[in-house]
Amino acid sequence: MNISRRNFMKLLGASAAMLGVGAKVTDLPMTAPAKRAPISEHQKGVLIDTTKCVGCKTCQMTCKEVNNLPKDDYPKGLTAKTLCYVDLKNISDAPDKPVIKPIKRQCMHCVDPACVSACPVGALFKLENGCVGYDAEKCIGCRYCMLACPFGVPKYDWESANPKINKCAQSCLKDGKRDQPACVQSCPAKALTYGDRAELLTIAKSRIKEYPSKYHNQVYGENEAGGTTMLYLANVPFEWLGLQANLPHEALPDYTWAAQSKIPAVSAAVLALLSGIAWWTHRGEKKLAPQIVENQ
Amino acid sequence: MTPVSPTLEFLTVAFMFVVRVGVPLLVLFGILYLLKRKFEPQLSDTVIARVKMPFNIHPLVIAVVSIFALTIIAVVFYALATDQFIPLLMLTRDIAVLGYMVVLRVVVPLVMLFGFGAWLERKFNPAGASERQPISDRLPILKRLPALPKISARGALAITFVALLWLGAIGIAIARFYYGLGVVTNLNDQYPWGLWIGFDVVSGVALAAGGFVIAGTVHVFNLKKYHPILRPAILTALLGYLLVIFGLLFDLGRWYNIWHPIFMWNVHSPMLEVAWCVMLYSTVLILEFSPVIFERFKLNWPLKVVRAITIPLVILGVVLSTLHQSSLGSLFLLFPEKMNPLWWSPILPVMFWFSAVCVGLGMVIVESNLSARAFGLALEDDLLKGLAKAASVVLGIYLIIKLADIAMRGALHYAFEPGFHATMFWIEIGLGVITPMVLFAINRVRSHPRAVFTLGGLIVVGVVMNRLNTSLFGWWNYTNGGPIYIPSLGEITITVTLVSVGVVAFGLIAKFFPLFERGHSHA
Repeated sequence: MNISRRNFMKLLGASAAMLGVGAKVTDLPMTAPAKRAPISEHQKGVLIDTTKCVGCKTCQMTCKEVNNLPKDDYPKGLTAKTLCYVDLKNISDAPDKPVIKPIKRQCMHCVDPACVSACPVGALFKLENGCVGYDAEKCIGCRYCMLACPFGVPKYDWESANPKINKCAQSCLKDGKRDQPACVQSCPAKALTYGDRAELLTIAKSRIKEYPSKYHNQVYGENEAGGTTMLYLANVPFEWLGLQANLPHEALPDYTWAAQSKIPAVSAAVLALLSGIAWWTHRGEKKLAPQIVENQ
Repeated sequence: MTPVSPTLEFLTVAFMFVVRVGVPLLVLFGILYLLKRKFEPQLSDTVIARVKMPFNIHPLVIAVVSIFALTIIAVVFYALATDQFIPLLMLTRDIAVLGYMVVLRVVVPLVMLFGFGAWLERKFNPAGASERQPISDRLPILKRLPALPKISARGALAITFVALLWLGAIGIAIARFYYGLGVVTNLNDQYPWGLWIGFDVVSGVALAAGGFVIAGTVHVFNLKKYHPILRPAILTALLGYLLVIFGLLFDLGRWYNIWHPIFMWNVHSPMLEVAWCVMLYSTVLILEFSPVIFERFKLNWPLKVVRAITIPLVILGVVLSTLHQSSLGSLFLLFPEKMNPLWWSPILPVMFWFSAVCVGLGMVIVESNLSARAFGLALEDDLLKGLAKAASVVLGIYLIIKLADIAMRGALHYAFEPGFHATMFWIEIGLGVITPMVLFAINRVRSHPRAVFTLGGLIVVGVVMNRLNTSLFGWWNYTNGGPIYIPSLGEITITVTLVSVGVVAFGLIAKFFPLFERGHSHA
């Protein structure tokens, strides 16, 4: 189904008018992006080369520093207070000989994010530079985004009466002091590269080509769930590092849009069908409004 | 993490003991008792006779006293659990001292004064004393007080239980809104949705489907014979939707922003559709139900207006229900990799709509039987037979679509891999779909109201299982050996409370409003 938003809104408006809800639907403020997930050539991203990562957790600590988050909580994964986490994965089967592979985890800033399509009020949105932003003022706290995210990134303030969804929204770039995210700047091992997604993909593929023995032949994030702007390179299969391996290559919002785009047509069809049936079954009666309760 | 206190640990162990030993024993004895009553009716009569109230105390008094006693016990337990027992003791002592002071300095002098007065009166007017009237004559207000309603011992127990439940729910609600979701629920970052979404919202909306099914049958298909069950069905749907809204208020983290979907639109989100359908369909249901209120208060012109727009209103209601039931299925379209293909399907919206029609029929069957028992209103067998026949057909279509869909996606083997998911699947399909479908197809079964009632209940159980499987148990998390989500006592209390509020509201409305049509009453 390829219905543009404008056509969709027209249809919706028309059916709403038919339903008698009000024909001014199209005048309401819209927070949805004009087109779902424009795959811009200039989306920025980060190439994360896990073979260069030394697992020092400097990025994690810098992120907490920049975002004023507590640094003494020793997280075991992404949490509401840990937006960037370095996971030290043991990939060895032998319990006495651990083999540790570090991997940095954070929001993947998908090309076509499931969370953005899931949020009913548009509190999550895709920015021009590829970042997936969050506006707590709009959020209603339904936590659909947490389920929608195939990477399990958005986290929730469970202990708060005024909770927020927490994830990397690249707020370190907002103050204009940096030209690249704080985690990239802080990395002492130069494992992180910031740049245009297209360029990063070329760099990643050339590295694989140059050192085929050093790299697992895949750039994680190129196609996963429709593609992400955070790209991973590794020397072991990615599921060993805890990245989801069974993701479809289509963007997840397509599944919902296939159903959502049919709403106007379905409502109109059901409306017409029921009106027809009602007219047919009542055709012999003098008045359309039946005297239902006559036992008064 | 604050360290767990030893008292709390002890209480946890005690609770576990009750849950794992006490409750199973109670259930076992309950089943034995039921069996006994079934096969030895005379014996069980003596048992019931022995349980009768030993003293001639009004059941309401017992209810109030037991609530008071249990509240004190709860306060003591809370104090123990939070290591505040000593302060509580000191507080009790202070209250006792204060009470003693009041008695000594206020009550005793008053009694002495009145006693002295009475003594003086008797002294100087000895004749008047013998003509003293009974107390109800001297205080006429006592006569005007209504008599306490007569309540059976079982009724008193029920009132006590419901009152305690609501007290507990108030406490839990305060904790939830003051401290956040994490304090009262077992939800966490791995399981952001739990019982409140899975049962209160997703199953709750399905259980309200009786409203649109019967309204459509009566007004769109013009099958007037189903009119007697229309009003109860619409009331159930309306109460169901109001409870969904209350459930959402509990579940939404930023519940004070619940109005945002009215103005902030992301048309890609099925959640927006859900929000809009809840709002619009609740309004339609209120309008569909309003004649009952207008009739009660004899408001003629609004009654005329609502009756004139009945058919368009019902059509609008069916359209909105179609959208809403299916949009709850669309919610789960985003998670193909997280759910077992037995439940995830690209046509989930269609499946949800079909199963909603099934459960609509099931709910109407169950509900009309419950009303028949509670209010002495019997339904014509003809109606039940018709509903059962329709349910059989719709269940058949649903089963065919469901199995064909699973087979076409090549996921049928998941149903035969022994384990948690296959078990849940076969219970859901076997108990909730195949059994009622086959038995409802038999004419002899359809003419037994009790059998119809039981099978209608099975449909309801089956669809609730389907919703819970889709929203919780059908997720791969439940089989990969990690931690799993079990609803907390707080979540269960709130859910049971919401359901009990609905039941009580239904009972009160049935008592004071013209819900059942006259002429069908056998009472």
